[in-house]
Amino acid sequence: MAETESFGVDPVQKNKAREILLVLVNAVSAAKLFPPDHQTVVNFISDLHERLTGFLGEYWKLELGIEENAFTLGQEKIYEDLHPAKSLPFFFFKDGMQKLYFYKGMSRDELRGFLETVRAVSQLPPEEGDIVNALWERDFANIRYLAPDDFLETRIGVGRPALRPTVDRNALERGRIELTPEDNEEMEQAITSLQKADSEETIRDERPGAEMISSIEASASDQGMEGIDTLLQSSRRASPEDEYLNLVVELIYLEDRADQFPVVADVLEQYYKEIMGRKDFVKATSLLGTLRELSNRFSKKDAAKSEWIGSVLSRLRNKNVLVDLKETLDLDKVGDMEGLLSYLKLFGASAAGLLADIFERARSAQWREKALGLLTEIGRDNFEALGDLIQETRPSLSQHIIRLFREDQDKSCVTILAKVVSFRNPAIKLAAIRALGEASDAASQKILLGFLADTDEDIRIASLDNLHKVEDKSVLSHICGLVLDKKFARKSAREKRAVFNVFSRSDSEEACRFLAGILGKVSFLPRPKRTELSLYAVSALAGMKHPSSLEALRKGAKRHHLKIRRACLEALEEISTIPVTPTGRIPQ
Amino acid sequence: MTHSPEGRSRPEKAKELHRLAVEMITRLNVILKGARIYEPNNLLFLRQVNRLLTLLRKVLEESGEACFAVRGGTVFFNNIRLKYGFANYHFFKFVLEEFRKNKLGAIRFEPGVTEEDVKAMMILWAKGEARETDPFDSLAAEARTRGVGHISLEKMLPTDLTKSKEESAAKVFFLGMTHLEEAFASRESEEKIQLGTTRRLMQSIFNHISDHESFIQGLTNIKNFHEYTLNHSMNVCLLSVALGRRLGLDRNELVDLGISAFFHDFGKLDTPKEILDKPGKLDDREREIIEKHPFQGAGKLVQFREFKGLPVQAIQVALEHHVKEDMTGYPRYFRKQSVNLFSKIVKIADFFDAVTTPRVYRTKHFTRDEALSMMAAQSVSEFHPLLLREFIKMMGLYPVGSLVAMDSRELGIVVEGNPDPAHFFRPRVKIIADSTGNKRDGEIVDLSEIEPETKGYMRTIVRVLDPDKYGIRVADYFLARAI
Repeated sequence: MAETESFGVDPVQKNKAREILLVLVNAVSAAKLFPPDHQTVVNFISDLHERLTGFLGEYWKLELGIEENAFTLGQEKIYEDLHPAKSLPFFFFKDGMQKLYFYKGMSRDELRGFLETVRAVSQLPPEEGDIVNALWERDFANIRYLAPDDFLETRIGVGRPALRPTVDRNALERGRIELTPEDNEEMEQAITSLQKADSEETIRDERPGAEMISSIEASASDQGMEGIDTLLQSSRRASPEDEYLNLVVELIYLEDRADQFPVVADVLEQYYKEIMGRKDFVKATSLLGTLRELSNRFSKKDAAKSEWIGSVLSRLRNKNVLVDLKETLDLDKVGDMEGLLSYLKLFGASAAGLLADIFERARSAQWREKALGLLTEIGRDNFEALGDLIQETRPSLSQHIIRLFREDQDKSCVTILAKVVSFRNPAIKLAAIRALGEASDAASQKILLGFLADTDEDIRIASLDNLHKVEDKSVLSHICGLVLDKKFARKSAREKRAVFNVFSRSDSEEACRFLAGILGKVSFLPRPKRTELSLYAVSALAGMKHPSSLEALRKGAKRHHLKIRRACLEALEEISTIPVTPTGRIPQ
Repeated sequence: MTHSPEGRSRPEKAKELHRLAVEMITRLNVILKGARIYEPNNLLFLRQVNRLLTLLRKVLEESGEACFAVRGGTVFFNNIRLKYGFANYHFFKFVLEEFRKNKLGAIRFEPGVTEEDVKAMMILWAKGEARETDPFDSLAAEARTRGVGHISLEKMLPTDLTKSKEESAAKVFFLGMTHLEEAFASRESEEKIQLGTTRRLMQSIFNHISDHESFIQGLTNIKNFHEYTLNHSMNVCLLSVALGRRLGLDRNELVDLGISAFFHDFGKLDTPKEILDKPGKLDDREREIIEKHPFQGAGKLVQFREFKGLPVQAIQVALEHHVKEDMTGYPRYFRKQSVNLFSKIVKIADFFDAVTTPRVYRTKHFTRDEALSMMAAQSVSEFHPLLLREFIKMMGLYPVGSLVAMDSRELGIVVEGNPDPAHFFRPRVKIIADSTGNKRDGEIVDLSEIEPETKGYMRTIVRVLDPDKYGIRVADYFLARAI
């Protein structure tokens, strides 16, 4: 028979405990400075665990007394730190802890958890941190503490008269209790029945509450226990956030005091900030959706409330929210992209910038695709909202938006593409040129002219190729100016042809006149550049079906210049094969 | 997953050890009870001892040690915290109490332990009630004298051995009321509620309920002390945590439940006192105002959410504690289809405490057993039936605080339910008047006690009486143990 009593403190034990405390203090300091997986912290925990395990193996437990500035073993101080701000004994003492126990069997995980708890509490503001609260919640099996309830008196009722019940003990011990005749009679009857009863069971069924008993006994059935278990599990599964959201909604629904609306709105905004701070977009979406539903619901029966909810909704959906979000959003850390996209969808065109960011930066093709889908939706309703997104830095998106424009053909937005003229990215420019070409209205044609000054020949040619019906005189004169410019001669044949093709496509009197003018210029000396121009003019005139173009070619066919004359004749011959058209453009 | 050389993983081993330990608790429960009734050589008793021994040897063979210890109101076996469920709650409660009676902190069985060792130790342990002074020292000395081997005992820690649990529990009760009063006042002056302190208070309440649930139930007989709402809120808090514990909520959930129950009537702060205390029936306008208190309470608490420590359930409970199980009652929801579990629990405790409290506007209040019967009758529409059943089981057929007349013609106050379901009708009763009606500060008797000569019960309850009818302040019998 062995009996374990609290141990006496021998010097060896004292020294070992002192060493443990020194390591504990250092481990706590390290845990405050470094993350939990930092090597310094890991080493301290290993050292502390090793020492504690050794100590507990030998002495079964380490029972530390806690004084204001000291740890004691038995009655002796074995560690002291007088500096309240960093004193570990004071840290425990201030929250009413009087003893701290480490028991044999304490695992490394428990020790790590203990240090983590100490670290977490020490980093809270003093009015929020309570190490006793925190250790109680962690409930370590082998690290226990003593913190008597008396401590509560230092926190509760300070400066108030204490509630002190009194008991008149005399009244409990002296005097008599006279039962009323009815009670007395019933008691006597019950005693008589009990004495007559053959068994306990007989009397049992006659007692008040017998029905209740059978119901209680039934609850001991498996079904009852399972039912309670189901209730508990379901309660544990419920997300506090969802519950809170539902609550807030119900509170808004129930609130009918106009003077309280601002209070509820504050709560709502606070909550909204919280969930946005956590980037919980599903909750945010749900909240905004529900507010809209509530606003609609009250629109008929309580217009003021409906309006108020609407104003809250507007505040929550204002653009600043998106600005803040854009500043703080780290797409790599968004856990629920679907939620984010649903949330942004609620903002419509205002969210275009963020959607563009997602399209550009999201790693998953799926999310890029979804962001693009939302942008497309926005563009369909409001193409202008996407205009700002056409940026040199967003080549892929810009091309997509331009493609949207092509599909949409909303000519009112054509000016948005004007800015592309100054871009460097050829792919965007080509996309814009194609779109402008397809728009084929006066404004887009004028914008296309801007690309003619581009340094990239392909761009210039594409732009020329997309100038279709050049009805605007200023456009035609711009093209004419190009031809007359001295630099024209240095352009490639492809570009020159593209320029003259514009005249050809214009099929206008002015163009014919300009080309006829080129063709009619005569020089006595051989001028290869002029000849080249004349030949391009012939080619352009040949492509036109305007009566004046034939006239010009006929005149050209009479030129002395062999090459020109031949070209004109060939052109006329070719044209003669073309059947007569109702407009009378018949070759003679 | 780490595997032991025997091929079982560590979690599997721990699970198996837990299973064996729970089985041993059941055996201990039977043995300690049997030791008080049977002779040491009784076959039934010996069979149970042998079963325990077999289990002990199995554990000793596998783990090298077999140690039951009590820390912070819970039982550990070989450093594994043992969890109890509905089925074995009473066994745990009984064994825990046996540890406490003897101020026994741990009992360690060592390899080589024999049937004689276990039998002798169990007989000594079961005699715990007889040793009033220094029970641990006496038990240890007797075990030494009897030559009990291979078993070592450890004294209960100071953490589990406060001088008077009752005194401490009563102190916490009144501090709780004071704290709630401060919270109500702080709201008026726009100060912060000290939720850290509330949480700490709830932890103490949890500890006391774990240690001495029946005494805590006894304290809920305190009614209309200082101010109705404060007293009522405290009672509801205690009853809710006690019920939650029975249901198997974990300790952190119980603290949240306690906080929720504590603040459930926070909205009454805004209800005019003249309406709250109006004698007689309320008119429609007054009823409307009263019915606003859940919403107003939730509205206030929702503003405190910025302070850490207020569980969302506290707001739910404040809002939902008058919503019935069939979703009638008040307030009527916009979209929610069900109420939170905590709200269902608090609703039961709230209703029970309210109808058992004398109020100026109520012509009659119910005794505790009447209240339970009435609640059972309304269970389908008003309360969650399973939760209500558990509540009734917890309170007992004769709830703590009931005034009872016995076949001995003595009068008594029920101070503790019988943990054994077989003795549901036989609680522990404090005798307050002898058979002639003379008051006395009598002893606490166990109604399951058998008269050795007649082999019949010594006392049986024959009638439940209304204490108010006789001017008996039930709460005083509990407070007298605490102050």
